[in-house]
Amino acid sequence: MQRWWIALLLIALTGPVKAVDSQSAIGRSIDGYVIPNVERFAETADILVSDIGALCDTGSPDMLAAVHDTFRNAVLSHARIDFLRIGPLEEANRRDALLFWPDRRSTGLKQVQRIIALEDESVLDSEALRNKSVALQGFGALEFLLHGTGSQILVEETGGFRCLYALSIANNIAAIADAIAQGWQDEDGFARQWSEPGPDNILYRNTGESVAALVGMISNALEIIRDQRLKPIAPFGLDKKPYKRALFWRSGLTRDMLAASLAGLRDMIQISALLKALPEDRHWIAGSVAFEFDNALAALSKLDGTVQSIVEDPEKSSNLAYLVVVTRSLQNLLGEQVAEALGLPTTFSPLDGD
Amino acid sequence: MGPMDRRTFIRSAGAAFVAALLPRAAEAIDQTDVVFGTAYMTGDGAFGAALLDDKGRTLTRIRLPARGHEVVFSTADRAVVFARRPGTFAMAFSTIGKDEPLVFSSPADRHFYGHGAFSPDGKLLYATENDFEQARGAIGIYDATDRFRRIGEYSSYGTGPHDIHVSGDTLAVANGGLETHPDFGRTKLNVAAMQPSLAFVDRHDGSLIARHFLASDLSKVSIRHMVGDKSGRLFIAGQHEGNPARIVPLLARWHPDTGLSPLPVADNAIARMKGYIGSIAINGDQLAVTSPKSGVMLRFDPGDPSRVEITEQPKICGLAAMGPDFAATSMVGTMQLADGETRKTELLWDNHLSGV
Repeated sequence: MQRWWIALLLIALTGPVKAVDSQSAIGRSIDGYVIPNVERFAETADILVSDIGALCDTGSPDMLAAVHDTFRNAVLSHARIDFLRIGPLEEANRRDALLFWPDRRSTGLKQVQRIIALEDESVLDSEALRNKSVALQGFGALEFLLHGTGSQILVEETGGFRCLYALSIANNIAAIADAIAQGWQDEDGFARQWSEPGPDNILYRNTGESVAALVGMISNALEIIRDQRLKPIAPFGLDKKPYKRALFWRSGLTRDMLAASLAGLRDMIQISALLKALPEDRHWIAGSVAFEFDNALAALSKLDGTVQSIVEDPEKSSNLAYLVVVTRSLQNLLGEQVAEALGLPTTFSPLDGD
Repeated sequence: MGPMDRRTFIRSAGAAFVAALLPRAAEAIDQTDVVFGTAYMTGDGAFGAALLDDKGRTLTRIRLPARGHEVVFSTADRAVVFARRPGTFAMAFSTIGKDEPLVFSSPADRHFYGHGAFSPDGKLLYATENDFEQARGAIGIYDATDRFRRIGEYSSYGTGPHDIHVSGDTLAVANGGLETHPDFGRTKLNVAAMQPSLAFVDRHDGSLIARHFLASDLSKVSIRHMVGDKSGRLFIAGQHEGNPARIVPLLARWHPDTGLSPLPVADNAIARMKGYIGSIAINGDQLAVTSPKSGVMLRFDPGDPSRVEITEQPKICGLAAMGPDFAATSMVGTMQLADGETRKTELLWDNHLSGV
């Protein structure tokens, strides 16, 4: 009875030739995109620590303005690595600790407000903070401290609780960013497992499996951008969505963070040269991908102003609905069409569990 | 898909369901040793449920307005197919085309998870549901003798209930632990804090009899599907929500005397499942599990899980006992029969294959 299975196994082992060419895309992604970007994220997180430290010491309005800039840089460099949902970012709840989102019931806001009200000093030690709720320890909580109601106190006192809590979060973010960077740099770590598939590699037994992980990650990233970041604020028919459902509405970084993620994804695909491995009759996919990324970034560039003004203006918010369509198209191109053209075993969305 | 009333359903499904019953289906059902039920997709994106005979031939096809999940049988001539989560419809149909299919829905503030189970006498249907505003798992109770009117609900004593089994007076529920909400598609909202559990609920009053958790280092193994054997053991199959690069046990067993414990299947076999078991079935002393993610089936004696037979087939998922072996379907339309034959159809089979 096993003959049939064996035949398929042979096809799987000898088959799709194109996948062999695509293997080098993994190494190029890691060396050319992942490592420089996780290092950049760790650097911006370190600057966040020193700037918030200086703010706590001085309480100066200029320093708060500087911290807002540094926060922006850290958020945007995080947006370029947040979709690397494989390997080091997936360890020890790091991804959720950096950014707990979506937070449908505003768990983070409620918890942070409570901590502030009680001046709960247990959050001031960043190592102790790491063991608390993920909603208390990342960019969401930090955004509220730096931009939310009551943030004026940051320039009204020195060494106050709110600032020290912000510093503790920054230290936590920096420690996680370092751990992620080290995880990717580890020569015997995940990067090696991913880029050197083989019969003895328990995770990736062949080229098809490791390339499928890359394609699956790209496809998943587009679904996350669409379902978690765009759909909560994109109009559906005539319905207006509450602008407070936007990620980073307080700091006004909603649009730039989306743009950073999409540009990061585009850069990674380009650097990987994955689409160069497509067979000749599918080269059009690469052209369509470039076209759709341009469309998405152009639509985002039209969204200037506060998140509220974007969401409440029908003309502007129609760009959000358009972005939902474009990201779906990109996901179809990069997930399904590319996977099929490269003869990958399957692409499977991690959001697809059933 | 939002809540759907019967009229909407008929509009979207067309009049196809009764007409789709193939000629002599009732006779064929008499002749086959086993009837399988499964949801399907077509290449052009239509959805339905089908009954298959022991040769993999389609006996009945019923169109559905959206993707289905599990087909459950009450008696030989009645079945229910549930919408896949977060769908809100279910359809009861006669397996011999005796009467028109009947559509029923979850309440407006609930959606189905795609699984259900009949009471032993076939009079009640229990369905796993999501009370999504409260992020609370529910077990909807439907009266099969009264057009599947919803007559009540119990708590599932966990978040994200998925598979459900009836054993005598007890309901066993696999609480996957994952919070989802229709506003965010299929996004998992609480991975960092998830607490999957296996809950036993009194079928008559909804009280909690017992609840079991995996060890804390396995808290990211979402308990999804299960199968019971004659000795009262349950085998549980999970899906890993943690780092895909970490190999963790995806299978567990439960016995009234020993509780819940991981099944020690070798890492190199478990690694082949890519953190995801889609279906589980048992036949005598053989347990089988599939991963459509990797296209792999594992088969072994749970009494000796060190020896595992590994077979491959693209997008294999549906599994059911058949004779001394297993039948397995795939999302590319193949059905592997127990005698080693394979039947390929134009229908793409969905996650589960149920036998009666």
